Parts: sequence; structure tokens; C-alpha cells
Amino acid sequence: MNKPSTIIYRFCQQVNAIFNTQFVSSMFDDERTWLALIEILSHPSYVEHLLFRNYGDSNNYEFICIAGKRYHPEAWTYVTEVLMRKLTLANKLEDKPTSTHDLLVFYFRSSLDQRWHVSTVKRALHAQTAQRDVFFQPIATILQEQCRKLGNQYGEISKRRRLQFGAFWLVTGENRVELAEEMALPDVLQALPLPLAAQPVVPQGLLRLIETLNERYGLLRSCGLPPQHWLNRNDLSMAQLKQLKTFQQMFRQQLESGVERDTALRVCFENLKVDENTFIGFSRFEDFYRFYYAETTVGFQYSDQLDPDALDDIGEQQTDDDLRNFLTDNPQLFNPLTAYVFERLVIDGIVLSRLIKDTCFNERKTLLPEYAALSEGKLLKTLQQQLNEIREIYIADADL
Amino acid sequence: MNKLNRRQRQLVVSRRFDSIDWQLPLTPEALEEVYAQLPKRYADEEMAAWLRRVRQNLSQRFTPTTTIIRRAAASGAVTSAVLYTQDEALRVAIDVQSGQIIVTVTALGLAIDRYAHRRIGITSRQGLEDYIAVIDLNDEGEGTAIFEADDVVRQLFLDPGISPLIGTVD
Repeated sequence: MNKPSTIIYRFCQQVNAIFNTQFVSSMFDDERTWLALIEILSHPSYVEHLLFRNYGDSNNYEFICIAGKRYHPEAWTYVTEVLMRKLTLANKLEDKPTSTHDLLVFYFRSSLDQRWHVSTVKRALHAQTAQRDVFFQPIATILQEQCRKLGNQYGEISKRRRLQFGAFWLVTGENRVELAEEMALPDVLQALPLPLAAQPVVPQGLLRLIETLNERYGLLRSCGLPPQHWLNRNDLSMAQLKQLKTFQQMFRQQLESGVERDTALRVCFENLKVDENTFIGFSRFEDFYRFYYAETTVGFQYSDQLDPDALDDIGEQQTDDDLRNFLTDNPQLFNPLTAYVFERLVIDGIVLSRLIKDTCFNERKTLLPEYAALSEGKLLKTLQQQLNEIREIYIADADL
Repeated sequence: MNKLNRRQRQLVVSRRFDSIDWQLPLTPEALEEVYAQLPKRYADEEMAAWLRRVRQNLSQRFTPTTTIIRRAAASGAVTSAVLYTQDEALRVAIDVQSGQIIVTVTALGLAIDRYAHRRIGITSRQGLEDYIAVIDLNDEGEGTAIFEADDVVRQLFLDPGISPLIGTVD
């Protein structure tokens, strides 16, 4: 399976699991759902690998404390500013809907009420017949209200496409209702025809949407530009952020090969100056230098930190194969339980909450007395420790 | 197939091992406890607006004053301990009684004025980043709080390998 950036894949599994708990009910409890997502994003792995971190501000930090639990403020930002963002239409989509519209239709089709299974979304120039069956009416009212709230506050591309191809319509058999040009994930969750079938694996549409929502944030993170200042600013386009990310990777390579910091910056800048002799809008190195130190947090990064984004040059399949070969070639390092945990958590990338419900995991645990007697907390701590030891051997084994 | 080299494997480790979330999600009961403490959402209030308001209302700044340096009887079998901060301004007494950990923070000497009516937080960056124990001090600079002795609380207060941070919560 072609996994996207693993941290996003892991996060999507947690999102999917939380959504599933709501899909079986008759009302989607969105407040608790978002709160649960903020809690998950406050876990150390997401703080380290998904959220933006200002390495220079570690001594005096803000936190959000509720009932003795400390919520990470950046997790809060990620939910309200990234996951809840309305997705604008990309130019290349022409008359096609956004990923948010696609996800809405996917969920409609997974309703336990089969009448929703024929739902589609499409643009149409003329006002559609407003037939409303009883089952359709309550959802239609919610969707209409979303249109009203959005008004004409949507992007230029959407405005153009709407003039060209007409508005988006949800079509369910003979029923039709207009959809907002731009929708956010909370809009989707608000309008679901519950109950829905639980999704055993992360729906591709959900994965694609979260990847899309994360794209600018992820680039800002890689470039050391605080999202709170840069997420909604147009000063740097996506293309420029990608260039800056390339710059960061080159800069780090220069540092690693022993080049002095300021020299490395200048070399990378000069090498990447291409279009009209500028790099992300700067023609003079001195101006870029000022921007780089004033705006980015790079001064605190890249000491001995490894940026997972730099993994682009190793394919997922190549990674899986290398891990699997390591598992096969080193049976003495594993017992049946750690081998299974290695395979499922590290290679397949599933999340812990899924692993501990796994039948095979529990069977192996029961058969091994050293694990069988442990409490859940102690078991997980033991496995974490054992996997950390294997992790070190995996790196050292590269030289053998 | 050739093995990945050391550099590549370090990157694999960073992505595949270090990104594993070893913490389980909150139980529905714990989530309910959190939810009950939030300000209610207004009718017609957008979800994002409500969450931003919650954040604004509940955001606090933990200002580490100093680390706790001295531990008495810090071992696995400990049932009580007295800790002092580096500047000897705060004394932290820990007592374990029937599955609960009772923590009393006392400001000492001239520090009483500084800490009276302040909210004190105890946390640690060593694997406990999601947790902070909060204790309110009275006008005499003293306060007690009782914590259920789960793994995290036990580790924070009793694990000799952990260096707790003590600070004010504003």
C-alpha cells in the first residue's frame, strides 16, 4: 500500500476511529469529537512530528489545562485553523468539486439508509427542481443554511467556475439541494445522514482531504515559518514555500558537510536563484538573510534534528522492504509479540488503539507469561522500551 | 535488495518509529470530565469560534520558577517525600495513602508573600508533557491537592528519574 506521510496516515486512523464512534449514533456529537481530536494532537508524537514547534520558546510556554490534562496550544491551532478551514477550489478542478464535497458524498453513500446511496455532487447551470422527500428535507435544510452563511465569501476560482458551470448540487435520486461553494470538515459532519456504516479503514477521501488541508501548514513547518503568522498570508505562494523547503534541505546538507553557517546560506541562495535572478522574491542575498533570520525559527533548528520531510528520497515500498528484511534477518531480536508489534506499528503504520484490540496481538500476549500479567499501561511501556532497543539496533545494523 | 544506509535508516526511524503515538486516547469518561469544564457553546456559535473562545478562556502560561532538586527517600517503595526547590522557596510534601497521592506545597519564609494566592503547577518535560498537577495556595502560601495515583502521577511525584518542574500558573 502506498502510504502518505506516515504521521498523517496515523492521525487519519485516529480521526476515523473517533468518527466511527459517532457514525453509529443518531446525532453527531461534534463538540466532543473535536475535543477528542485536540487531545490526540496533544500527544507527544504529534507535537513532535506534525505540529509546528518553535524550538526557541521552550522555557516559557503556554498550555491549556482542563481537568488536569494539558492540551497543547498548537494542537488547538491545528484544529481551528487547519482542519476546520474551508477548502478553496483548485484551478485544475474545472467543474469538479473539492475534496470536501467528495468526502460529503462518500459519507452520504455510506449511510445505513440506502436511499442516500445514489447521491452525487455536480455543477449545474440552471436551478434544479426542488423536490424534497421527507428523508431528504432535514439534511437539505442544513445544507441550505450552510450556503446562506457562506454567502458570496468564497474564492475567485470558485466564482469563475460557478459562472461557467453553475452551482454545486447534491443530487439524491430526484431530490436536489444546492451545496456551498466551499465547505469545511465541520460542515460535512453537521450534515451527515446518520447512522452511517463504520469505516474499517481510513477512507481515501478523508486521507486526501486532511493531506490537502495540511499541505500549507506542513510546508510552513518544514520552513520554520510560524503558521500563526503565515498560514493565511499570501506573501509566499505554495510554489515559493516548496522552494524554501528545498533551500532548507540543501542548507542542512551544507551544514552537515562542514560548511560554515552563513557561507552555506549564501551558497544555497545563489544556487537556487533562477527565475529572473530571484529566489522566493529576493534578488539580494542580504535581503533574504534578513527575512530568513527575522521570520523563520531556523536559528534553533537543525542542530542534530532530522527532518522526516527529508525522507522524500526513500520510497514507502523501499522503506517497508528494508524493515521487513530486517525483521526476517534478525529473528533473535524478536519474540512473537514484538515481531507482531514491529510489523503492525512500524511497517503497516497502524495506531496503538487499533493494535490493542487486535485478536492476534492479544493471543500472542496471552501466550507469553512475561506480558500476560502486565497491566495495559505497563505492557505498552515495556513494548515501547523494547521497540526503542530494536530501533537502535536497526540503525547500527546498517553498517554491518 | 540492498540495505538502506545509516543515514536513510535514521530517517526511516524518525518517520516510522518516532511517530508512533504510545499514548492511548482519553476514555469516554475522562473526555466527559474535560468536556464538563468547558464554557458552553452559544446557539449558532460556529464550532471554530467556540473552540477559539475556549482556548482564550482556558489558556494559561506556566512559568517555571525553578526545578525541584532535593528528594528524600526517592525509591520505588516510597510512601512519603519532602522536596525543596532550588531556591528553597517552596517545600513540596508528598504522601501516598490508599491509592492516592496527597501533595502539599508550602511557601517558605520571605517567599510566602510571593506565592500567597498563586496557583502552582508541577510538571516535567520527561515524558509527562501532557500533564500538569495544579495546586492553589492560600493566603499563607500553602495548598494541598489530592491526585489519583495513576502511572503518570506516580511517575511525576515518585520516580527518582524524573526531575519535576515547579512553576506558577497564571
